Amino acid sequence: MKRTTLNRRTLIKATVLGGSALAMPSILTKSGFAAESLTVADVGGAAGDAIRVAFCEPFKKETGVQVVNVAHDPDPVTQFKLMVDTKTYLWDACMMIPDYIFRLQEGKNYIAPLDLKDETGDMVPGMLTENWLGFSVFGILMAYNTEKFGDNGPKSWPDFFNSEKFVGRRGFYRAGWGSLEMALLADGVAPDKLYPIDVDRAFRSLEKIKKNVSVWWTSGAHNTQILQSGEVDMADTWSARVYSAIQGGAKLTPVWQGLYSVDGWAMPINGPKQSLAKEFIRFCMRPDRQAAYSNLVANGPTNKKAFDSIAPERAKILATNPANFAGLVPLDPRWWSQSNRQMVKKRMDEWLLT
Amino acid sequence: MKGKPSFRFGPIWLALPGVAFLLIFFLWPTLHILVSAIWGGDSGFSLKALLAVFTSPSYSRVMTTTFTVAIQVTALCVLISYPLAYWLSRHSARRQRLMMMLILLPFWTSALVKNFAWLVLFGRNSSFAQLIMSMGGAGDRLLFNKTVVLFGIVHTLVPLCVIAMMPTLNQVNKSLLSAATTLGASPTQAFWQIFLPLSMRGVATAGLMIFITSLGFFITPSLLGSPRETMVGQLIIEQINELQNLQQGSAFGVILLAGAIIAVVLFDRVFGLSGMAGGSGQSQPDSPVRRFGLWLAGRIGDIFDPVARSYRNTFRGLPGSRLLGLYSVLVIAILLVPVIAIIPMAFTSGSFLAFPPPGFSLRWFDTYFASPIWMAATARSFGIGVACAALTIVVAGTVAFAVVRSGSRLAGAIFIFFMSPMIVPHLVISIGLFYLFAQMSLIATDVGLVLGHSVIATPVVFIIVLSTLRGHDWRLDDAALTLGASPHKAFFRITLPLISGGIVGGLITAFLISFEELTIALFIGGGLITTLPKQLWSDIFLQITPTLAAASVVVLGVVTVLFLLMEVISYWRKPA
Repeated sequence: MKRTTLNRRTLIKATVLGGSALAMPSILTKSGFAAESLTVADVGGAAGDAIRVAFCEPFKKETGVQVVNVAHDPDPVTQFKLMVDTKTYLWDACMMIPDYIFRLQEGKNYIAPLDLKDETGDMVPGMLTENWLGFSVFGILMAYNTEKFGDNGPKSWPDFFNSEKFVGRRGFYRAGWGSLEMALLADGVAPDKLYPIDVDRAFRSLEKIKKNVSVWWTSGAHNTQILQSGEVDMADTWSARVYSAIQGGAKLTPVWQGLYSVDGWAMPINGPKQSLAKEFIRFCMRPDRQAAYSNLVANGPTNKKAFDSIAPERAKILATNPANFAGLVPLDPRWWSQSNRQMVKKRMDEWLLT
Repeated sequence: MKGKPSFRFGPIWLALPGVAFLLIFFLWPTLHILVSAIWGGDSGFSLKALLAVFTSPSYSRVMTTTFTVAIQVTALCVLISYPLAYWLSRHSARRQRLMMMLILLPFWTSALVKNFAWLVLFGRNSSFAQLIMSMGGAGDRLLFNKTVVLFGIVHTLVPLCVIAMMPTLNQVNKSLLSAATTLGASPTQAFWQIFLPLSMRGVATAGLMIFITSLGFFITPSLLGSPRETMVGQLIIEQINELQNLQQGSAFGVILLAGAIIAVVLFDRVFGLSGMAGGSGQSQPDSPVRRFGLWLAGRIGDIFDPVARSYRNTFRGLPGSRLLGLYSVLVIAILLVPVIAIIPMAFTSGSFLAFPPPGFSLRWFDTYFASPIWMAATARSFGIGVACAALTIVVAGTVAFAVVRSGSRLAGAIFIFFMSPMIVPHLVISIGLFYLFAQMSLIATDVGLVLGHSVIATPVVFIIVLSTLRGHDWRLDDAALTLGASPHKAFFRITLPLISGGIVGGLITAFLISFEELTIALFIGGGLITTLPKQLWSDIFLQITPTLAAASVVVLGVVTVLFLLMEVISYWRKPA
């Protein structure tokens, strides 16, 4: 039985490959690559362009190794697992937040060890682990419409949740990840006491603004759109989204209070080009490269020295600027395990539908 | 299957390559995934995930919403599309093609761009909202409710509905209508008693397709709806892609599949698309449902007849056909709204989609044309679309032919089998195919994408070709054969020209489906080879930029030019 399927499969593969002229270009391009090349996956969009300019092209100039950056799904965990499980190593490195790294090690380990050292001691603590290098810090915070509130906008999460004092339409993330924490901050939980999350308390707190949330946003672009167009007067958001909207002319004010998370590089376990990929990741630790990146995307560098090459105006809006960083605590991926995320998601759905 | 099998090369054998295609590239990989609904890796056999769909209040509510929305969308689509398709069917072939091109234009615009366009056009600060508010309406509450979700889905599916109806409507022999009027029927009665029953197959086909397609919608409800409009497609993506809970995701898929199979079986019972043995253009065995339908259509005709008469007597200036024309133009205009709105949005000087744009600039077109990634993605989408259309028409066409021409009892099973890829969530197909293609080294290849798109396009093309073949009068072929034509000649000289409408409809639909398909490119392409929808999807990490609108405008332009070119060539070749 097995043998016949195999035969049939090989036969079909042969016919498909042989019969279709379409197969040719893909075969040609594959062999056309130099032996020394890497493929890295990032989140695409503006960040992808910035990674190309700040990291990939300079790396080629210095080492001759071509780094092609491609875009992955907003949540690449499923893709990453498929890739490793089937030994189809499409990506030599992948841009991931600590949350994904944690999820890819719950049960089976999918992440290769990195074994890099912070030789100069310039890294922000926690940004280099045994299998991951963070290079881009973003705040999970709130923003309000300056045209609506002027200087009297909400200054904190308790303000955001005070719908009598701050009348206005709100946007809020539909999934609960990274937003239950905001509900707790609003209820007076100290930033360092957020975890383990008191889910009941968070939902009691959310109840206070349920009627004022007119948009339960579902994706990053959705989030930016409702803030930029004035569809809502305030919303929880990520720092880079606020600044891209502000850059586009929107009148928004971010409030630096909340969480932070970090985009970074990790490699698939047993990947074929690990030593080369590691060199690229080491390259991304460099302060000048991180500064170049932070000048393009409004996320904070993880190498403190990078601020030496960033204009003060720009530094003001970056998450790792000490003034901003003080208001943020790290999002704890250990609490957001698969079972907890499943539980919160389900509870959120039930709560929203009743 | 009795006694010794006789190896006569009957028409059913034509179905073999197509069936094999779906067995390998659809059934096997999909079963692989769907089985996990009851067979978790660590926990062994368990019905927990399936039961959760019914026991969890939020899940069962989402299920109810999904099926309610699908039924409402189907009813609305059929009601809106039928008069339009009827109006089209009374025009010359050339006029029809031109109108069809307009109707299909919004289909060429990516779903992502269209839905963001609605966010802009119906937004709280939009001019439309201001207009409604100045008339005293709740203009600031146009978005994030069920009405706008229904509107969004119906708007997306009406073109598909029309294209699925057209072949059947065009096949209705118009001289039957004159015959009816000669025999004393009023035009109203002739329509209700002759035209409507004869066109019912097309209507039903379109309805079935719309129902099944709308079950899987997720972009529209997640962008335009509130949590109350959550549809099961969103849950499947969440479970599989964000929560890595393949078991729960597959469980939703299985329930969706069951619902759609029920719809197909009901449809089969009523309209007998599959069961007809050796079907020709003749009517099927009288079932009570069918008799009731005919009776109902007759009575409605009787009711409307005096209405129409008195209408004609009162409003002499505006005859019914003019009214129908007015209606059709209005529907086409509404279909074109996002297309027309996207053009100025693409020429904006700002960095967001806005209507009206703050100023004019070509910067987003510069970005688009200067980017090798965008250019390659666009070219690849066109190339893969053409290859997919060619492959799909062969796969679906031969099988449809076999199903229609053979009296085999297998035909019914093949019919349901060929409808099934429409029902299985694309995400499930994509992940299943990933495992298969990984073994065949087809990941991140164009061939892999073509095969994947073809699996997804097959059911729609199959049903369009099938309903055309059903309406074809096979006695004409018999006549040709009797008069000495070879089967080969009869096929190419008689059958093919007469069913060409269905073939062209199938080709266009396959191309469109491929052109719009995202999940296959997401998984099989792995980011290494990128189609246009994938590139649009990747570009919205932070915000939706006007580059997306620019890309859509370019595609619209290319499609329009290609179409007009084809028209000019055909006009020049056949000066009639």
